[in-house]
Amino acid sequence: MIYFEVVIIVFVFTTISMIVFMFLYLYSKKKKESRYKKWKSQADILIRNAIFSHQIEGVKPIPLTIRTAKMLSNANFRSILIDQLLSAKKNISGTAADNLVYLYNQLRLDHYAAKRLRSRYWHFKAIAIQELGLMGQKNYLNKIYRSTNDKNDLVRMEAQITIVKLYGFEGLRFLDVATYAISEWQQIKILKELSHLSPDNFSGVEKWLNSTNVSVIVFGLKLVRNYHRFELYNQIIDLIDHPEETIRFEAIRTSEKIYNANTSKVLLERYQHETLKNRIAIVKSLQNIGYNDDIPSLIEFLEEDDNELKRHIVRTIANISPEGLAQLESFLGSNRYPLNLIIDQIKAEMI
Amino acid sequence: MSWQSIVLDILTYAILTYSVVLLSIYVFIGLYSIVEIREYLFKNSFTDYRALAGASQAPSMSILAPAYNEGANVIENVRSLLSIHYNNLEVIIINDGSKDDSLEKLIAAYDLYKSDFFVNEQISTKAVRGVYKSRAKKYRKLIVVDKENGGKADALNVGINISQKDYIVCIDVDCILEQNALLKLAKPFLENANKRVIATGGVIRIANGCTIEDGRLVKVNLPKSFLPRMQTLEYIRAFLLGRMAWSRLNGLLLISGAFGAFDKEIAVKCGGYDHKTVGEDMELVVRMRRYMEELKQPYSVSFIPDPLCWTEAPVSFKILGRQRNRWARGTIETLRMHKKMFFNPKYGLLGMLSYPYWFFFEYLAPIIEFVGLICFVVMALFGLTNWYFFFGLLGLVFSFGIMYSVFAILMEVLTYNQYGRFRDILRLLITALVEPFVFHPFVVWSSIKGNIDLYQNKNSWGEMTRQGLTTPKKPKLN
Repeated sequence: MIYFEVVIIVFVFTTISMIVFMFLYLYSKKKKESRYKKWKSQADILIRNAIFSHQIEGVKPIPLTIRTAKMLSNANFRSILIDQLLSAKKNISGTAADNLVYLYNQLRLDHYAAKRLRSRYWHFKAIAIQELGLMGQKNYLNKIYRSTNDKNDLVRMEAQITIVKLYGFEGLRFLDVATYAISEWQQIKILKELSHLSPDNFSGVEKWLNSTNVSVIVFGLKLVRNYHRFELYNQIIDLIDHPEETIRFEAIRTSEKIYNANTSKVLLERYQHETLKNRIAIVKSLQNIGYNDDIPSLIEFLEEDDNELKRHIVRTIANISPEGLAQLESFLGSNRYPLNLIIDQIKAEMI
Repeated sequence: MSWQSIVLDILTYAILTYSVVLLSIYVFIGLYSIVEIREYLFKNSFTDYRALAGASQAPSMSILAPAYNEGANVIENVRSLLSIHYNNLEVIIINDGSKDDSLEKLIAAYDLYKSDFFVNEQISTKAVRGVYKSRAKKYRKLIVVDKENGGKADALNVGINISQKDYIVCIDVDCILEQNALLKLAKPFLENANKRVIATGGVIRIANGCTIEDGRLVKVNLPKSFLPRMQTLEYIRAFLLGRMAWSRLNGLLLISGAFGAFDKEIAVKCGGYDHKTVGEDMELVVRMRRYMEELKQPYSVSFIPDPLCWTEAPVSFKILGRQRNRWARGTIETLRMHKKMFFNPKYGLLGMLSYPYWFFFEYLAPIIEFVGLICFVVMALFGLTNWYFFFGLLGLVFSFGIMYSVFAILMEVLTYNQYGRFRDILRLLITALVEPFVFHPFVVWSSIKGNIDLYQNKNSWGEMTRQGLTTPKKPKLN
């Protein structure tokens, strides 16, 4: 026997419950919003006072109204205040930013972050790490450093960024022990963080280039490329023969940035053993570091089937030397499809 | 026991079992999507997309926008695409042999000239008449391709051949994209270090009724017209619940043709879009997945729940019917082309779960619903109908449908809350109540017509007349 009525009643009841919940949620959200608006302006006043105060840490505290001091025991107000503090800190620097950190310390807000750092929920943990990093809380180094190899990717990412934020290039030592892959996205974030800092001949990169973690080697190669570490040239050239295609690709691109008179020859020798993607990378690199002497080899490569590769080769030849294109046009087959059309396109690009 | 009653019992319990399994899957999808959306929103709260906007390592992208007889709005649409925040980008507009003055308008508005451009025909297409570039530096990202008419799939393939970037973003030219849409779409390609992300889809929302100025969405409004509002609810349900759950399972088979990003290398190796099907968007995703499965390479298809793309929904039953007819034909054609994967363990989750789900619950559902209804009518004529069962099952399915829609609205309110006013939520709830009685039967009927048309070898795209989203005198639809 099927009791349709029972199931239908359950569905109707669930539907009504969801509707009631939805409207209660919207109503309470609206109420909260008006209350939060007041708290937000209270927090704004406090932050503004801090930014424009001329206090010296440890000498005289930033003045608080009695109402604000009382409100600090309210978790919701505290959360709004921290959000406002963090968003202000992201957008300003110098003394004003130091004053915000001073206010953060004065209100002992780091203690609440430390509590969240111990949470078993990754979301709370990651937020706490981000907050401590933005507020320059170096006291928590050990706890944050341990999280740089956390099993949760978000916690791990925030911890790595925070360590770099707090200790600059020195903070990159987490790469020594990184066992999880560092995603491209994370690499972009770390490089962005580093771009604000002075490199001062940071150390450790030669070790990362020998890591067993492929992503660490890739990141190391990007560091060498971005910071022109010419002294690591030989190590980079060795990596051009690495069994991993991604590493070879990054090594090719890096060699272009720290090249010497011999680099183009090394790349041309490697060319025949490479995948299509890496061949294109080699040809693109030669646009900037190739010599007239390399043009005959490049013309030989035009015998290959891939038209995209051919387009890159012709572009490279044209970039190496103005005579390159003339030399190419004397090449047998340059007036046949597709080379004739490719040459026309590159000529048009060069105008 | 007579043979009639045996047949009747078998039919009755078969339909009941099918309904219960289908509803159970919906419950699972609903609950599973919560986990995925929650995780996405948490992760998103950490994300500063500005890091990607300025990064030299950001993946290079080509927007491919086919245009056919879009002369009325093409200038505005292209301007909207050119204003998107992304550095390493080219915008390729493919004029698919328009009979109107689209090309002339583009040439005049963007100071275009016919350039020497070698079209690398990696995928075979109809002839390209010319590739146009702008003399103005501010439009340097723009490439306009003029080609012989060959349909949407063919136009997209030309775009792939022209593209010089690593990723292609295929969109409908009249879609309105959020300014940071590409930054959000690009991120999944960079996030996964262990699996290759081969495609990413984003949520499509209905733009009817919204305020659009200079090709940008200024204010979100709930459509006032009946049909667009129905589709608004349908899209919320499909994108916020269905696709998020399938994405978490890594079993997503469909990325909407209106907005999706693909790894160009894999798309080219798979042969690009198939112009023999009207469901070219679904077919490409299935083929790319199949390709990766056959190579045994780890991969994923990602989906993001942020509303990134706004499109105009059909406002008449005639146009809507054509669209749903086409969708039904596209689904069947795709399933037929890849029938090898049906319950084939070699294809893992794709063969054992995603494909069978689409076969049983996307392709067969309208047919079973339609045939079931006819059977009940015939049985009623012969006095064989068990009315308690008939109305019981009908009530069960309808009440579940309404509950599921309300759940989708609740999820929307708890997450993006695009239609924040009490009045709009109330209107959406009323829409959820009405939908099973008006909209749903029409969609089922259109799907049945799609099946019949396919059987009769009718494979036309069906003209999709649009009213346009931006007009200076009348900025809102309805």
